Amino acid sequence: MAVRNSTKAFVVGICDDEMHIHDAIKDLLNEYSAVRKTAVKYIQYFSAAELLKATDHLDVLLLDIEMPEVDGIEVGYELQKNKVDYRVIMLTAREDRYREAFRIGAFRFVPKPVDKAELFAALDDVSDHMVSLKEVTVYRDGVSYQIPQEDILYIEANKSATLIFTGKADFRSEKPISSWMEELDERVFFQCHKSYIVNMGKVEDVDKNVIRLVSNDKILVSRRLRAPFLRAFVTYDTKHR
Amino acid sequence: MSRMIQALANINMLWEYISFFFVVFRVDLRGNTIKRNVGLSACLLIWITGLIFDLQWMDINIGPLPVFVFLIFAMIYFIFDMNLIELILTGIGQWLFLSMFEDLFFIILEKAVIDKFIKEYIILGTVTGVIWIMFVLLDKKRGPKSFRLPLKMWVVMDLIMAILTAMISFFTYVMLRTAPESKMMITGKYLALVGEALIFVLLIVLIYYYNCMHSYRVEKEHQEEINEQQREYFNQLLERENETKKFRHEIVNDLLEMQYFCKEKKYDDLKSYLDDTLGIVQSISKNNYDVGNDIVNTVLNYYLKPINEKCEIDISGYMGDDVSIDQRDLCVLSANLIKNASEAIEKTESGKIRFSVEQGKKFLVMKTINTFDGELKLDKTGKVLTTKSDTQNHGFGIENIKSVVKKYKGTYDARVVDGMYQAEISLRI
Repeated sequence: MAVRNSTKAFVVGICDDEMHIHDAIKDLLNEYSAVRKTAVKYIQYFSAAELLKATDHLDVLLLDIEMPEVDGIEVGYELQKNKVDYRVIMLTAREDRYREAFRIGAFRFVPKPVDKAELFAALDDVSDHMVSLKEVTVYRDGVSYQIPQEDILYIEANKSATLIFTGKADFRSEKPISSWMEELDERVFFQCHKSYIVNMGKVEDVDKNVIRLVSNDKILVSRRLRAPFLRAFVTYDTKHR
Repeated sequence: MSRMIQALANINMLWEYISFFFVVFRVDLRGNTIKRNVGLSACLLIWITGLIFDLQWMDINIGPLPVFVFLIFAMIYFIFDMNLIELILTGIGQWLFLSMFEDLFFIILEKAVIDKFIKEYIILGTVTGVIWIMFVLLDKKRGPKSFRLPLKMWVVMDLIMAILTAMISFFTYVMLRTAPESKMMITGKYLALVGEALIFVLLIVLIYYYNCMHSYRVEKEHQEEINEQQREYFNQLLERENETKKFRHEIVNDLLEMQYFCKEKKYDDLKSYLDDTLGIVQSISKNNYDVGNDIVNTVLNYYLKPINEKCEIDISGYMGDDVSIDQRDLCVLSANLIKNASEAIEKTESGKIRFSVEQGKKFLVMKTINTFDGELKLDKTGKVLTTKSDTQNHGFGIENIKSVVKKYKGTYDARVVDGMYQAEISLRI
C-alpha cells in the first residue's frame, strides 16, 4: 500500500490553536504509527503565522479551520500560493465550511471531534497518493547531472541510447529506453510508444495518437497503447497529481 | 471500359446506400476491429473478382442480382455498428424506399436518349445528392435518432412499403398491357408513382414525429424524476435544519444541566452527558451525504438514504459545483450508477455500496462498487456484457450513459471484481 520509504518517517504537521486538539491528535498518530508499523514524526504549530514562517519538510498537514486572527481557509490559500508540496487535511467542527476547504485544494476533510477511523483513512490515502520521486543520473557533454524525475518532460530513444528532455536542457543517457521504466515511478511515467516515455504530469492534452505536453512538444502514442495510456493518465490525474 | 463503368456504377450504388444509413438512420460506424477489417476485405475481394470476370450483376433491367445485394448489405453490415436483424429490417426498408425514388426518376428520364449507365449515374447522383442536402439542411434541427424506430415497427413499415411497391408495379404492368400508349394511361402511371412517392415521404415524416414525441415524453419523465429527487433532497435538508433549530433551543437546558453537574462535582455524570450531547451534534451533521456537488448530492440522498439502515454505504471523494459538465448529463450519469447499485442491493440481504468521486485537473472519475445477486454475462476479462433491451427505458440505462460519456470523450466500464460489481465512469473536464 504505502510507497513510503520505510527508513524515513512520515512527517505530519499539526496546526491548531488549541492544545487539547494537539494532544488528541498526537495520541491518534502514535496509535497510527503502531498499527501501520511506520515511523510517524509530528511538527506542531499553534498559529497560522507560525506555520507560514516555517520551512519544515512535511508529508501532510492537519490544518484547523477555526483559528483566531487568520483562519485555516486563508492559510490554505497562502499555502496554495506558495505551492507547498505536501497535502493538506482540513479539520473542523463546522461541516458547512468543507466546500471552501476543497476549493483551496484540501485533500481530505476530517470533522472534529477527530474520529479515529476517518483520520486513519485520510492518512492512508495520503500515503497511497504520495509519489516520492528519486533523482536520476543523466549526462550532457560527458558531465553527469542529478536531476529530479518530475523535471523530465519525456524520454526519447536514440539508437541504443536515450535523450532526456526537461524543457530547460536536454540530456543524454546510455541506458536503453527499455530499462528506464525500471527506474522511473510508473504512476507518473508511461511508455506510450516504443521510442517514447512520457511524464504524465507534463501532459496538456491527448488527441487521437498525439500527446501534447505543457511545453507544446508533441509525442506519439502507439495505437496499441492508446487505451492503456488513457487509463494510466486518468488514474494519475485523479489520484497522484 | 465497360468494366470501369460497371465498377463506378457499383461504387455509386454502395455510396448511395451508405449515405442513406449514415444520414437518415444515423448509425454509428463500427470500430476498428479484426471482424470489420476481415469482413470488408472479403467483400472487396469478391467484388473485384466479380469485376474481373465481368459479371453483369448490376444490369438495371433485370435488377440487382441477389449476390450483389448480399454483397452491398454485407459491406454495410461491416461498416456500421448494428446487428443482423437491424440490418435486414432497415435494409429492406431503405432498399424499397430508394428503388421507388430511382424508379420515379427513371420514368421521368425514360424518353431521354442517353446511355443507360449515364442515366443511372444521374439518377443515383440525384438521390444521393438529395440525401446529403437533407443532411446539411436538417442536421442541426433534429436529434441523432429521429428516424430510428423500434424493430417491431420496422417489420410493419417494410410490409407496408413492400405491398405499396407491389401494388404500383402491378398497376403499371396492367396499364401498360391494356392500353400501352394512350395518354390517359401515361398520366395514370405518373399519378401512381407520384402517389407512392408521397405516401413514402409521409411515412418518413410520421416516423420523425413519432420519434420527436417519444423523445419528448422520455425527456419529460426524466425531468419529473429529477424534480422528484430534488424535492426529496430539499425535504431532507429542511429536516436537518429543523433538527439543528431544535438543538439550539435545547442547548440552554443542556448547559444548565452540565453546570449543575459541575457544581455538584459529579464528573462522571457530566462526561456521559457531554458524550450524549456530542453524539446528537454528530448525528445531525452526518445526516446527509455530501460530496460537494448539489446534483450528485441530490441523487445520492434520494437513492441511498432510504436504504442506509439496511446496508453498508460508504461515500468518499469530492467534486466541485463548478465542474464543467452539463447538470443534466451529470444527473444522468450519477443517477444511473447509483440507481443501478441501489437496485442490485435491494435484492440482497445485507449489501454494501461504495461510491467515490475523484476530480483531477483534466478528468472526473465516478465509481460505484456494490454487492449483487444473480448471474451476469461476462466476457473473458470480467467485463459485463449488456443487452440493448433497456435502450428506451425512461431515459435511464447503459445506452444513455454511453452517449453522455461519448460527449465528454470519456469511458464507461462495468466489470465484476472479486464478486463485486464495479462500474466506473471517467469524463474529460
